[in-house]
Formats: sequence, C-alpha cells, structure tokens
Amino acid sequence: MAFSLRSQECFNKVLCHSLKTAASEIFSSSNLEELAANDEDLASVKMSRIMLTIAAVDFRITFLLHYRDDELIRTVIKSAASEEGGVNNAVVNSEDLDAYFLEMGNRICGEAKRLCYESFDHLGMSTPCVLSATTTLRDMHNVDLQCEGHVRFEMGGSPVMAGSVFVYGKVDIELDLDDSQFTEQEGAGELEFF
Amino acid sequence: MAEVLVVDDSATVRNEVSGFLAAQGINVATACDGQDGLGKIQADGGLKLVICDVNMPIMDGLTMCEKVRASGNASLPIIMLTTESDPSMKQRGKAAGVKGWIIKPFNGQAALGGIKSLIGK
Repeated sequence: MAFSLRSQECFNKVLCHSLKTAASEIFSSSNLEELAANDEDLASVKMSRIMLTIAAVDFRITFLLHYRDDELIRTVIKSAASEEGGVNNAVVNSEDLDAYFLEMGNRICGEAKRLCYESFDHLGMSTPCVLSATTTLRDMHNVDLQCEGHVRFEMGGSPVMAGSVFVYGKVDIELDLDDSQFTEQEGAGELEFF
Repeated sequence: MAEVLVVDDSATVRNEVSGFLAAQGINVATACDGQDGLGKIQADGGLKLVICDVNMPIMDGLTMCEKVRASGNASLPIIMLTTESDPSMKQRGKAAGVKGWIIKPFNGQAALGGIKSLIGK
C-alpha cells in the first residue's frame, strides 16, 4: 500500500501553504529562503518543535513546526510585529516563544483542515503541544506512516524554522487539490455577522 | 470597568487582541478558557462584547456561549475568533447564539468597525 505521488505532492503543498499562511507576518517582513528538507537536515539543527494533528476516521495527519530558540528568531518576530503595527507581542524568553509558535501552530492546523475538507469529511484538530527535547524525528516513523514531507526556511544560510507533515493510516487515501484551492482565504480577519 | 472580554487559551492572542483594543481606547479584560470567561461574564454585568476562541481546554467557546444564553443573558454579543472556518462549525455557532465570526489571524483594522458598532462607540 502506498499513497499516490499526487497525494504526497498535495500533502506537501498543504504543509507549505498552511505554514506560509499562518506565518504570513514573518514571511512578509523577512527574506526567508524556502528549501526542500529531509529528516537528516532537520535532525542536524537544534530546534524546538510543536506537534499538531488533524484526525479523520481512517487516518491522521501530524504536522511538526520546528523553530530556533535564539536571538535570530526573536529578531525576525520583533521585526514582523513592528511592521504589522503589532502590540504586546514581545517574545522575550523561551516560554513566550513557545506561546507564539503554539498559536502559529493553531493557525497552520486551521488552514490545513480547511484545505483537507475539500477531500475529506469529519476532521478534527488537536490542541498543539510543545514536544520535549528528547523527542526525535525518528520517533515519528511508526508502522502506520504512509507519507512524509519537510520544508525548511533559512535566513543568510541559517535555518530559522521548518515544517514537517506525516500522514498515518491503514488505508490508501487520496488528497487531490488544484492550485486554485491554495489561495488566501477570503474574508480572513474580517468580522462576519450572523 | 471592562467593555470587552477576550477569551482565548493563547496568551499571544490575548495580548494581541487586548493590546490592539486598548490602543483604541477600549477597556478590555481577558480570560484563559471558557470556564474562566463564563465566570467573568457572570461577575461583570457591564460587559458590552465578548470575543472568544472556539477550541480551548476545560470549556470550549461554543459551550461557554450556550451557557451564557442558558443563564438568561440573551443580549450580550459574543463573537468567535478562531481558526475554524468550515460552515458546519459556523452553523453550530449560530445555534449557540453567537453573533459573529472572525477567522484567525486577528486583523484589528479589519474587525474594528464591527467591534465598535457592537459596543456603541
């Protein structure tokens, strides 16, 4: 059993699109270079990790959001906040940084779920959680893993953040999204009255 | 006295939304989950608006809204600020007595007109 190449490609696009949408303030204010990545690339850099899951009846999609915990990422966030006219988003310590990326994780999950709803019903999303430093990418490789993909973002040759997607299940599933579906969500941020 | 209560389990979102509203001259209180929010709504009869996340630990935002309505408070506007965008979730919100829906990320300038109209400013 194996996912089609089309499905794998779509899951990778869901990862990249959701991450860029959720972190749009960072991407609009920083020159981050997008690069393909694999397990080894990501394992070689010390980064904090947040795990998020979208669950369906037959399968689950787990995302990892990787981010540095140092002055470089704080500078990137501070620059994004000031460009956006943001207030009170000081990211001073590791706890602040985790809180910032937990919320970003929430938005990744929300956007990915919206995209996956185009192909699947009955999806639920988890509350994001910070993984312990002892959790490795190898831990993500269990027997139900069907496909995975990774992307990393660098600034001046230094990795700043990265994303991974892992799809687990015991059945083949088909995700088929065309480019028109990877657009910015209409009305995001606006108040819709009922 | 607070005019707007912001209910979200994310400190980042609480700070972002309350900071933006405070900069507009709006008095803001915060709560970290639905249960905390429910307590603050029941304790503060002067609130004019609640901005609330959907997915939160302890008590989610839609349950909080249902409990507010069940307590006899039919007039307090509650709007959801959430990553949830699917129509079925919005339908649940309508049924729970939610007044409006904002899909995250929060865009203060885009939402400000609606928020001001709800609090009469």
